[in-house]
Amino acid sequence: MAPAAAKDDVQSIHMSQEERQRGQYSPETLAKVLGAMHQDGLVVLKDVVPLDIINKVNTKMCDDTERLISDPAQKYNHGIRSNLLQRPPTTDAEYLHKDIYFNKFVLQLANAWVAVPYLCREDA
Amino acid sequence: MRASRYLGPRPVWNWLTANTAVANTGARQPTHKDNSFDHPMYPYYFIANIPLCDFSAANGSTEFWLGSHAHTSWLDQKQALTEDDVEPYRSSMAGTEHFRSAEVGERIPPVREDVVAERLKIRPPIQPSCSRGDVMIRDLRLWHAGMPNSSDEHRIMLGLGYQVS
Repeated sequence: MAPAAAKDDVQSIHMSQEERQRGQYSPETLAKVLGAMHQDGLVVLKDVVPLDIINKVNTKMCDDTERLISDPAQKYNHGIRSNLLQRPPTTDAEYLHKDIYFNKFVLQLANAWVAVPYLCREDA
Repeated sequence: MRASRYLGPRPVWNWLTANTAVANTGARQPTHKDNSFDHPMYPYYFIANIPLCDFSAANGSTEFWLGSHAHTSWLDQKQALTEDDVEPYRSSMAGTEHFRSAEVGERIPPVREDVVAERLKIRPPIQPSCSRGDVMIRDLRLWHAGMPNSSDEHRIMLGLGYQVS
């Protein structure tokens, strides 16, 4: 019997303890991240944001959602009344955290994602 | 020849939003791309989606069409034929005028149904699972669709957009 085809899925990238302590993926791990982005257009970076701030922001924003959907004038994303955009997420400084808005691993990907244009210049 | 000058990309974080799949709802979005313009055919923008809870198909994890980013062009998207076609894509903020993201005759975010049908034969979409604490990164060109959240809890993710300059 032929083996069952593997189920298609997004690639999830785990980090080592050393990478977590350094705040940076190794070149080998970064290559996996970039490969997934270029092949699939999607990648999951596992465990890169501390849970305490995520849980705190979630509680606040779920409360905000209840208030928003109680307003009959609320606009919905693509006009479908099951999805809405909360912009901005919050302006309360208590919920602004560098691991969300300046995440080291996300920024490492941002800086590596596009091949760098290389300029050769002959100086006078 | 002297040493070369190295011009690195200077990514710019220039978009901030959050996307909520409301609890106990049953509708899905059309398969779409997050633009309505003639976009580059190379990596130029990505979104970092930060889930605030665990995501799965049960609570409306976004549907993604893996690989769809690589060969898709503006021409894959529907043309708005009426005012009703463009109305859902006007964004509004309280106290300000509406901003139209497309005019009648121009392309709108949804991907054409015939194009979707062809892609379905090649690589059907998935709804990935991920956990709070993860970050999901996607190429802005990737086809996707918001999905119904049949759970009792709102499913929220932050969205940060990074542009290569």
